[in-house]
Amino acid sequence: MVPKTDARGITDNRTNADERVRTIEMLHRRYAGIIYDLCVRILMDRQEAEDAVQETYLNAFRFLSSYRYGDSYLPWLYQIATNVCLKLIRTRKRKGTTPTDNIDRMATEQDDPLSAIDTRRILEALVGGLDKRSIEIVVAHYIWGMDQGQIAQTIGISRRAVVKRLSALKRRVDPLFVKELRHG
Amino acid sequence: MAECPSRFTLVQYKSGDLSEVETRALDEHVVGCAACQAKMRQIEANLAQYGPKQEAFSAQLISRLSTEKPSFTLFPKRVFWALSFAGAAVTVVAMLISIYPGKEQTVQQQQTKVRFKGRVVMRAVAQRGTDQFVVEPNAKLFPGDALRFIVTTSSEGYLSIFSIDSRHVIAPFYPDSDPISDPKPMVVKSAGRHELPGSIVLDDAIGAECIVTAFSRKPFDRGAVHERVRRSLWFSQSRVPGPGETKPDVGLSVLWINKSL
Repeated sequence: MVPKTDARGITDNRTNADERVRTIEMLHRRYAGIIYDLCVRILMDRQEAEDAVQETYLNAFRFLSSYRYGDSYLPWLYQIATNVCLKLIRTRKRKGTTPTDNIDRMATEQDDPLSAIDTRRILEALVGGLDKRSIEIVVAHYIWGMDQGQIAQTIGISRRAVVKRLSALKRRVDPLFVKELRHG
Repeated sequence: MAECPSRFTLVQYKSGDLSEVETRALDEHVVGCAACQAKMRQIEANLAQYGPKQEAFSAQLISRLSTEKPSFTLFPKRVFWALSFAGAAVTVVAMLISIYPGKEQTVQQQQTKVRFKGRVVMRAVAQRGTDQFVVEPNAKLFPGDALRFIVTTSSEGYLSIFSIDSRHVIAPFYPDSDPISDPKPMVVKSAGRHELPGSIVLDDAIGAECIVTAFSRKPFDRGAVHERVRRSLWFSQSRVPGPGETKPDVGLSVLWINKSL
């Protein structure tokens, strides 16, 4: 079977085992650095971020059939990576472990105030109390820096639903970020 | 490009995922924007950190993939739920028709006997922080402002409120469901003044936006009304409809607002 290719040159490579491996290899070559950037921002630990990138691509291979042919791969990978990172944070919280380094505070906090925020600590505070969809919206808005339209498209809910959820979440999440900024 | 793009857009820009036009617009913006340059430096720093290890990680990943088995699902989750829901809905409708065949006929008979003309007046009240104010035509509002709606109708009937922006994107307010899967308007049980429940928080799309209240004494298809507004001359000219410019079956009340940062 010849894989389909759409107008933007994206090929539907989900049908054949070798093609699936080649697709993941291509996605790793193209996006691994970007996914690493996301994982570092969530986990605040380079070693864990490297592991999370590998786990993201393994999950992408396992669930390649869930990718909607024709869409951009990046939001799909972002969502997988977020779930991998949140799982790591839950595990960490359960075991009571802390990350080994505190990199971005030192390296780039002059450039971007958000890098001075310990997002890991905020997410640890939220994972027990919010449902999975709300956490995904928090990460997409505060950490990915997506606008409402991008969140709606990536998570697969209406823009109105994003606005509603964000409005309800802001009262809870904004103070955590403000507190963290002062702390940082 | 006047506003700064989101960080995710910068990531798409860096990974070459944007169209040529978008890339050109960002090229111009980033050159003159210190904040975006700072974000780009941070993204690039993380890419540089990962770059030297990429080959090794890629080889490691490929070797792990050879022992992995992909997970197959017969349908994507969304399709599965949609099919399940459609099946359940068909069953419920079939049961209702078999139980109440007479009632359905009565509604149809009533609809053919009456000629309808809907009348509605809509007022919006905005809340910004602790301030509350009535939204006047062409009012300047901000993303995050919360709007409450008060409608006065000439009779009982059916109502829908939605907004449509300059890009023709529709945001349904009341009801807030997707008009394709749920085209029914909300029911208004009596004539008079109605304060609608809850509030609508304005999203971050900037520019002129038209808030439309549609009312009719008989049920109507929200999607069809959306389409009618989208194609109307008065909407394309950013004004309210004049006499004779709306069809008599559904009455419209229109409020233009301007959203800015």
